[in-house]
Amino acid sequence: MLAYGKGDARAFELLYARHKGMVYRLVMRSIADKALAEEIYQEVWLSVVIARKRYRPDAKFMTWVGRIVSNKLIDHFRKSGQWEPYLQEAGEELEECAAGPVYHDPEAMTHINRQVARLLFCVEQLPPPQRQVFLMKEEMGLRLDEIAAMMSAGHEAIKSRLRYAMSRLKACMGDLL
Amino acid sequence: MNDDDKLSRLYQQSRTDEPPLKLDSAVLSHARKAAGKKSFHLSRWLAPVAAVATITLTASLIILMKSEHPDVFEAPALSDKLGVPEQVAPKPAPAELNKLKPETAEPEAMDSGKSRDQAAPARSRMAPAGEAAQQRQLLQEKRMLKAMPAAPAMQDAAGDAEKKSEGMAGAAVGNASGKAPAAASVTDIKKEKVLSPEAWLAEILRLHEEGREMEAAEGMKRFRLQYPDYKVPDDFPVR
Repeated sequence: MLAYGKGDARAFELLYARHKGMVYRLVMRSIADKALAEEIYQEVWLSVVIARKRYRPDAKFMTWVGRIVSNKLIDHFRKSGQWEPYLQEAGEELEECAAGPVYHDPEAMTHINRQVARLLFCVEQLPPPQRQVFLMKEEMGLRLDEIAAMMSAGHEAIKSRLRYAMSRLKACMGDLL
Repeated sequence: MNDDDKLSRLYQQSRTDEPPLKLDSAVLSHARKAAGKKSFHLSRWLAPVAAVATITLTASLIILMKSEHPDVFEAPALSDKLGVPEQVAPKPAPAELNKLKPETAEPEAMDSGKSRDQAAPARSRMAPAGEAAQQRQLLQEKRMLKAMPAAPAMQDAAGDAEKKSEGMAGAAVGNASGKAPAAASVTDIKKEKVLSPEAWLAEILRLHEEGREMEAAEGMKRFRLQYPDYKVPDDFPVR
C-alpha cells in the first residue's frame, strides 16, 4: 500500500488480487441487493485509492480495509434502518428459520453443497449486526477484540452478537448440520 | 467437532466467490488513473501566491489610475467643498470671472469652510437664511446662462485654461472667497476632459432630480457636443 501511495499502480494490483475476494464476500453476503452491494464494493476500493497517501502501516492492510468495509456496511444499514433495531435483542427468542433456498436440481448437489448453500441462506437471514460479526470472524479470521475495535463496539457486545448468530445459524441449518 | 466448528468449516468451503471481471476492471482502471495523476505539490502555495498576485495587481491599477487621472480621486472632496455641481455646470472662462465676481463670490463663500465666518454677515445682509439657497440657485442659473456661449471654447482651450487659471484667479479675485471659483473652474475643466459619458449622464440625472432643470439641460447640450455619437438611453429624462 505504501508503494501504491508513491504511485506504483502494480502494487495496488497485487493488493487487490489478494484481498478482493474477502471484500467481495463481506459486502455481497451482507447486502441482499446485488446492484447496491456491487456499488458499495466499488466504493470500498475507491476509498482505498483516495486514502492511499494517508495510509500508515500501523495495522495489517486487511484490517485497515476491513474497517472501511465495516464502516460502509454500517452506514448502509443505519441509513436503511436495519441496524439499531437489532442491537438490543439479547433476550429475544430465536425466530423460526425460513424454509431455505430452493434447489433447482437437488439430485445434482452433493450433501456438502447443500450444506453450504443452506448456510449461506441462513447467514443472509441473520440480523445485520450479528451477520457482520460472523462474516468478519469467518472471512478475516479476526478475534473478537479485533472485531470489537473495528466496529467501535464493546467486546461483550460483539461476543453476544456472535453467540446469537451461531445459535440462529444452528437452528436454521437444522438437520443439515 | 462441535457445531460452531462445523459451521465454521462449512463456511470456509463457501469462500470461493470472486468479483466479476467488470468490477475488477472498473476498480483497477480507477486505481491506475489515480496513480498516474501527478500530485500538484505547489497546491499549498496556491492560496498565498494568488493573494499576493491580487494585491499587487490591485495596487498597480490604483497607482496607474492615480497617475493618469489624479482628478478622479480628488473630485468628490473638492466639489463638496465648493458646493458646485460637478461637470455639468459650465464654469466661466477666466475672462468672465471678473464679470461674475460680485454675484458668485457670495454664495460660494457661504459654502467654503475657510470663509464661513466672513460669509455669515453677508448672508444676513442679503436675505433671510431660508432664502439663501434659493438665491444661490438663481445666481448659479444666471451664471450658467452667461457661460453658455463660452462653454465649447472652454473645452477646446482647456489646456491653456489650466495653465493660466492660477494667475487669472489671483488677478480677478482678490479675497478668499474669490479663490474658490478659479480653483473650481480648473478642476471642472479637467473633469470634463476625463469624465466618462455614463458618469456625465449620471450627473445630469442628479441635477434633474434636484429640480435644476436648466443646469441639466445645459449639461445635456454640452454632453451632446462632447459625445455626439453616444446613444443616450431612450428613457433618459433630460433631452
